[in-house]
Amino acid sequence: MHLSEAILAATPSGQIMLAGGILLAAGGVAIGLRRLEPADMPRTAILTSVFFVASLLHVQVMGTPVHLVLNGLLGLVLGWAAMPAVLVGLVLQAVLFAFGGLLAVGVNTVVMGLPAVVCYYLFRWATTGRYDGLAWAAGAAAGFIGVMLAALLAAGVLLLAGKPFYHVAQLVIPVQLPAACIDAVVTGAAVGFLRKVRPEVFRRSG
Amino acid sequence: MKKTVFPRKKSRFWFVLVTGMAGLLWGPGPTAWAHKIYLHAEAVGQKVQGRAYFRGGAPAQETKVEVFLPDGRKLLETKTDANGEFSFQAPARCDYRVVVDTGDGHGAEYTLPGADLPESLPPLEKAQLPSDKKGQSPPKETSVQSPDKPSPGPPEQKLALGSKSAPSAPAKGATPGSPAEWQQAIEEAVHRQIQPLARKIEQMEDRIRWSDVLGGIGYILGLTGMGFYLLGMRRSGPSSANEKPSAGSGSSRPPEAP
Repeated sequence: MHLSEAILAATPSGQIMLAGGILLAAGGVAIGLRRLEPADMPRTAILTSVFFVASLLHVQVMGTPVHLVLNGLLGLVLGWAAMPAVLVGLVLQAVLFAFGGLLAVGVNTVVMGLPAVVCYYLFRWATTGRYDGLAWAAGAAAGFIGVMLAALLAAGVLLLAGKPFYHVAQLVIPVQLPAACIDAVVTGAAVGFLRKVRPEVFRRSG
Repeated sequence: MKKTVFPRKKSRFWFVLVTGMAGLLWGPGPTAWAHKIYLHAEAVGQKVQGRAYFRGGAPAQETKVEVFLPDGRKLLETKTDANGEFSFQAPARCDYRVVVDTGDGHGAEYTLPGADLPESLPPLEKAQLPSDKKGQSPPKETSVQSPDKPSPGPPEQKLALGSKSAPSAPAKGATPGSPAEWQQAIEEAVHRQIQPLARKIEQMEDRIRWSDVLGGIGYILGLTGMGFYLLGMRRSGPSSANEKPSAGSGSSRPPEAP
């Protein structure tokens, strides 16, 4: 999921993607910060920590290591504030663990943050609704769509950077499918749990 | 009713969150931490050998490897074998930039300093590059074939090791060959001796650095604290919390970038 700067910086179109990613990420983060209420900041910090740690947890699925992304959960709880949360998490991952690299933080923020915002608009209504089952399903769907959308965006970036299509399609989509399923289960469970224990998490307009 | 229940729920929430995160951290274990690809290359005589592997040590099999010259020209392209290993013949004594690319956005690069290569190799200006004259490339040039068949990698490498150990055995006895042969034999031997050490260092680097994880969480909390601090400084009245917080936290986020 973390696109590598070594790969993108190798081609001119990839460099354009890196630069464009930085600009887009800056815009998204600005929107997120503008909408971030002071009362939401501790929540944002906690979910940033969750995102930061989640990407470090790898599970072997059919021989391929996949990791949690949880951008769907971030989107559901934080809305646009998921963008700065993803940015901070990615910067720390890049600095401490060399995930992707600092130059690629912009692109990766867009790749993982944008699906979070999309999930917010798609499924927010269900998490604040009356039915627990529906909220669970919405959480699972957000987890799944968050990861798959991020995978599609990553694949799109790679394609635009001049990677051969079959190669990208072959490698990104099947690998991310199990990851998306795991994310769906975890996000669904997290939404169900949060609704029971702290329902006000979903109440505030993020 | 709600007032009496709320504090208990709150503490339970934190308890479950913390224990859940701790359980998640311990669950999969450090060895399952992969995805990030590592690349290592070293000079063995006139050859460059390397290995590409994922965090945790799983080899990156059948992965594209590109080798670039210092001036940016691509020297050759090859693939890793089943052990994630690759090798190519160095035509000149110069830096080589090796790039691996799994194709799905994960990759790594490594620059092998030219100083690691033996002095017997010609400098880059005088070297015969395979891309210059295909027909006249040195006979040992095997790298161009390997992209088609990934299997030639290991046999070729083992063959090279075997043939090199042959001269080193008599060297112990009586007849030392030319100084160049000696040098090569020594380099091979040292390489073999160092290999396990190198593996060990790789493994140590692969271990999850828990201190880094905790440090990262600390950074996030610190950022939040800074945001609140700036918020408190900027807020003149208790009610004007809508417009100014964005500016306050906006200036608080960037400092963590360096």
